[in-house]
Amino acid sequence: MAPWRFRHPGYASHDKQPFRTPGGVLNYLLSLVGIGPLQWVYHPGTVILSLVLVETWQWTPLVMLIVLGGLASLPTEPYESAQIDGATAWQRFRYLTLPMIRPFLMVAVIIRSIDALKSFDILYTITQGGPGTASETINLYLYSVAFTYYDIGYGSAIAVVFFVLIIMLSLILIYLRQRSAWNSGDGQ
Amino acid sequence: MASVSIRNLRKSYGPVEIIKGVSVDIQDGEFVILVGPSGCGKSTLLRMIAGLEEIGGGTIAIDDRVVNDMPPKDRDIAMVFQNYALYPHMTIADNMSFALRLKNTAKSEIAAKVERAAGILGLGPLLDRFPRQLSGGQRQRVAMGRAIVRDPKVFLFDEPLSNLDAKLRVQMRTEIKEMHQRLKTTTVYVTHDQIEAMTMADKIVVMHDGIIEQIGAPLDLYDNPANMFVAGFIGSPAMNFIPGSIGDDGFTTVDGDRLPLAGRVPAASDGRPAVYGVRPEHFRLADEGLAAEVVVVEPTGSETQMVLRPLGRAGQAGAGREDRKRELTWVLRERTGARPGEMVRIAPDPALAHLFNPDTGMRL
Ligand SMILES: Nc1ncnc2c1ncn2[C@@H]1O[C@H](COP(=O)(O)OP(=O)(O)O)[C@@H](O)[C@H]1O
Ligand SMILES: [Mg+2]
Repeated sequence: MAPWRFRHPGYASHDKQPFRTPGGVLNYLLSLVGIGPLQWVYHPGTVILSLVLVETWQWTPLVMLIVLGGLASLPTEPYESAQIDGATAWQRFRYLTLPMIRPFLMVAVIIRSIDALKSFDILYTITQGGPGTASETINLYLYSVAFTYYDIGYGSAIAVVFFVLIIMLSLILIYLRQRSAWNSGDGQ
Repeated sequence: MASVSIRNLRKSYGPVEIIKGVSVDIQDGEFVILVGPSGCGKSTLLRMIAGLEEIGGGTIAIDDRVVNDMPPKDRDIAMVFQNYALYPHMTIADNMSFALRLKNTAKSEIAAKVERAAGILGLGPLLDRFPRQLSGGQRQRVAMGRAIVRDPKVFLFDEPLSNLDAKLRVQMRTEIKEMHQRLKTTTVYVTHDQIEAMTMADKIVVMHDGIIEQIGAPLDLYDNPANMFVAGFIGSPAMNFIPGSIGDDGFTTVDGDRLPLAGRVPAASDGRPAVYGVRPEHFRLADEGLAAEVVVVEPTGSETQMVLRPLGRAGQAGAGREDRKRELTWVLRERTGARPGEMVRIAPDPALAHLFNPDTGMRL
C-alpha cells in the first residue's frame, strides 16, 4: 500500500525526482548493478516506459485489493474435489483459481483501462507530453489545443470523439466481464 | 476395486481427540455405511481415508498398501461431498471429465466415459449446462457422475443426500444402491440417518463420540444391539428403555410392574438393577399386561403409533417431567379405536426383548 502515500497529484512533481539524471534514485540503483545511466523521461525512447512505471507504482495497490477481494470470495470446496481429482497445486491455480477470479481481473482491467486513457495529472506534472510529443496523449493534446492555442471548437470536437472512444471501450470490457462471469446470472 | 483396512486410527484437533482408536475392515466390493449422531467424527474419518485430513495415529491401508502419507490423488479414490463441491465455472461435462483431462486421457475415451456415466445417471441433456443452472438433485447426480467417470478403487460419500428433500432422498437412495450393484465398487458412505444406513448398507459401522459402538449387518444390529446406544440409535421409532431390576420371577419395573423374561436371566442376578429394552413393534395387547394410559394416537394408515404412560402399581399416571421420560411408544399394525385418556394393558414379547446394564449400557 506504500505507493498510495504518493497518490495525490500534488506529489507528482516528486515523481520526477527518481528519474533525474544525474542525481535520480533510479539511476543510482541501476549503477549499483552496472547499468545506465538512462535518460528516463528526458528521452523519447524511454519516456513511455518511465510513465508506465509511475502508473504501475501508483495503481498496483488498487488492483491488488480487487484481486484479493476476489480470492477471498472464492468457494473452498472445489479445491478439495480437485485434490481428489488429482490436480497439483499448479493445476488447481491454473484450472480453478484463475478462471474463477477472471471476473475480478476484468473489473481491474476496466477500471485501469479507462483510468489510463484519461490519465492527466501524472503526465502533465512530469512531462507535459514531452520530450517533443513523445508522451503526448489525446488528453494532453486536447488540453493544449483548447487552453494553450485557445481553439475551443477543435478542442470540443476532440473531447466528444474521446468520450465516444471511452464509452466504446467500456462497453467492450463490460461485455468481456459478463462473459467471464461464472457466479451469477446465466452467462454462458 | 479394493479392500480398505483401518487400524487403530486416531485424530485430534488441538487437545481434543476426535477419533479415538477406530478399526474397521472393508472388503472388496462392500457397501459400508458409517452412521452416528452429528459431530461423532464420521466426516473426519472419511476425510482421512480420502487423504484430505492428516492421520494422527494408526494406519489406513487400501489393498494392503498403507496410504497414510500418500496424497489424495495417488490413492485412487473418488469422493462425493455433501455440498457437491462442483466446479462452478465448468460445464457438467467438464466437471465430470476434469480428472481424466488432468491425466491426459484420450479425448475419445473421455467422451465415452462421460457418456456412459451420464447415461447411468440420466444427465445426458444437461452436459452443456453449468452447475448453477441445475437443481439440487441434478447437482448431486453430477457429483456422482464425476466419481463414476474416474472408475476409482473406492467411492467415498459424505452425507450425499442430506441437502435433498425427503422424496428425492428416497429416490436417490435407490439409485445409489443400484449403481453399486452395477459397478460393485467398494464404497464407504457416511450418514447420520439410520434409515439410510439400514436400507443401503451391506455392513453398518455405528460411531459415537469418536469410537465404534458396533459393526454388523443392518438386521444384525437391529436384532442384537451390543449396547443401549446402538439399541436406541438403530430402529425408528426408537427402542423403549424401561428401568427396573431382575429377580427370580422376572423383571420388575421401577413402577412395580412385572415384565416377562425369556429364560435367559443372567445367573445370580436377584434384585440386580437393569434396563429392559423393547422395540415399539414388540408389544401386544394382554389382559395381564402393564397398565398404561393412552397419551397420543398417531395413525399413519399402514400402522398406528401410540404414546403410552405407564400407570404403575399406584394405578395413577403422573404428568411431570420424570413421568414423561418413562413414556412408552407402541407401534401396531392394526387400526385401533383407542383414544387419549383411555387405559390399555400391553405386554412385551419376551423373546424379542433385551436387558442392559444401566451403568455400562452393555447388553446383559
Ligand atoms: N478443522 C477442525 N478443527 C477443529 N475441530 C474440528 C474440525 N473439523 C471437525 N472438528 C470437530 O470434530 C468433531 C467431529 O466432526 P465431524 O467429523 O465433522 O463429525 P460428523 O461428520 O460425524 O458430524 C466435531 O466435534 C467437530 O466440531
Ligand atoms: Mg459430517
